[in-house]
Amino acid sequence: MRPHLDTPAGTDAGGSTGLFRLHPDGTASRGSRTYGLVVLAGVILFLLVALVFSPADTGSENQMGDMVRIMYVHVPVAVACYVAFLVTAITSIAYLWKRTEGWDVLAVASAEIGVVFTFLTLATGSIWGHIAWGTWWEWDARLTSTLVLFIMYLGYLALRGAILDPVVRAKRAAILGVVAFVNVPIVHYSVTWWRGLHQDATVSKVDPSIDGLKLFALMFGMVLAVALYGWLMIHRFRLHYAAARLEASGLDRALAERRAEARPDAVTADAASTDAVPTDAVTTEGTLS
Amino acid sequence: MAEHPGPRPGSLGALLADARLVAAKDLRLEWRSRVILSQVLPFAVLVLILFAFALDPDRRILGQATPGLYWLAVLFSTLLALQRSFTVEAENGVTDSLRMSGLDPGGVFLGKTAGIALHLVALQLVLLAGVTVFYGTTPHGPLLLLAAGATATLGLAAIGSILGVMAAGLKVRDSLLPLLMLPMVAPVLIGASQAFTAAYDRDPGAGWRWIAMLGVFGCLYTAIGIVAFEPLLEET
Amino acid sequence: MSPLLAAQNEWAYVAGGYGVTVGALLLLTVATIVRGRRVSRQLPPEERRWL
Repeated sequence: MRPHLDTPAGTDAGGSTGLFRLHPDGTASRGSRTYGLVVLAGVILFLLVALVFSPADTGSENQMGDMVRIMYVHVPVAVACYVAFLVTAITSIAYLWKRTEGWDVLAVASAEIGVVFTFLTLATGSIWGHIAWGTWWEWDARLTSTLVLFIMYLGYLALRGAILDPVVRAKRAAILGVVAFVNVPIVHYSVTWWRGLHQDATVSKVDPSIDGLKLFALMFGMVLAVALYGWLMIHRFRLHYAAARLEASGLDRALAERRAEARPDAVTADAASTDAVPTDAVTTEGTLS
Repeated sequence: MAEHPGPRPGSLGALLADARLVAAKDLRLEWRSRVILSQVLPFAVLVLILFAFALDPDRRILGQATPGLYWLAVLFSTLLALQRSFTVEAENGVTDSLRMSGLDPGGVFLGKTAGIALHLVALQLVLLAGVTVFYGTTPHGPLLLLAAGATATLGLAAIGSILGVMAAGLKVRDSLLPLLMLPMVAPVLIGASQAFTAAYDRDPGAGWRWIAMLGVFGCLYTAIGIVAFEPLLEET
Repeated sequence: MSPLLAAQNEWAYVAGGYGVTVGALLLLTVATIVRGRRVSRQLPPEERRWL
């Protein structure tokens, strides 16, 4: 890896040292690198606060002790997953309105990150449940709606995987993105009503008091999760955008090769031949007409 | 430009006229091939039978679980009916001709939804008879049952039409459609089962809230379908 | 089961939760970066509009 960058204009060669060193083939830019380092610093700070500095939960009958720390990851990843799917819905609507590829790329990037965060919500939620109720799964409202959410967006990714044509894929996925997100509150309410009929002690078994440094850890976690989502979005967007450009240019290249194959015949044949390829046609048009 | 007799294009009248056209086509197709009748309905009864095999009939689980099992059978059979409904089109290139004939996409959606809804009604009548006979439960609260059936049918048909077209023409359609549809209709399964439970338990008060939710679901996805069918039916 | 698990168990679950989270996000990050490099390597520089 070259330690100093001599790449296209726009790259600030002066800042190409240490942690700002950008890989020439990478999807990073000066801005995103700065952003990423800030997020990284935030993660380290957060881990210190959440795991070391913030106190254990004490002082109430249903105290959680050190277990409360699992909340500092569970709630933030849940927030991030909802943000991600909201963004997918909004960018899907934007795509249907504007029909530009960029919106579709945003939608898929956000959905992919959202699925990961949803998985983490389920995993940390399950751990929380094991702590609070002793079982790895309970059909409570939040866990259940998150599970449905997870599968809905796995379906979204599956639909995208099944369609080859980029425009058809973008259109259908956009509609699904909206249809799925609109369903989120409905799923949430029906599951809540449904489980509300069975007010177990599961709901009230733990009653942590979140204040002071604990509250700070929770809030900081939420902000950090959204910030991390943003950084991942930048890179995944660029990744998908580059892939789309590659696909498009691959198509152009294939077409050009196809024309190049036809060219040797057109050159040897009559210059006025109607089979002349576009480049030839441009020069022969004057003589033909 | 030829005269266009009948409702003004783009008006509500045109929407409904196109809907009736599409629904009539679907029902005529079904009448001729009788696939729903000869395959989907027997499948539905088969599902009920399988539930009995899986759950011990002697322990009265079937009776207690009747609402849920009923709606599960409806859901699985609906998937089958949808696959059928959209296969016919893909095979005969009917989707293309629908597009090119200048029919209002919203009308096409309403027509397809109406056709599917009618099949679902037939399905549910058969299943209701099935659970009464096989699970020994007597239906109660007919008004609640009817409301639940109607609103759930609307929701299932609307979502089924949207997702059916979305997955149409794909090689993986048969595995993709259930994956897309089943999580999406979770509220219908929950709501309709709860409403039926309330009816069977002779506690109808609890059930009407679910009817409201099912109604919202159905109307919402009907509205979405009318708008979404235009981009869905577009050629690329 | 009491909401308070024995002291020696507690940290295992918290560690597990944090581990899964950090691990999964790290995995996503690495996968994104690596694939991003692989794809943009095949693109001519003028297509890389973020630099």
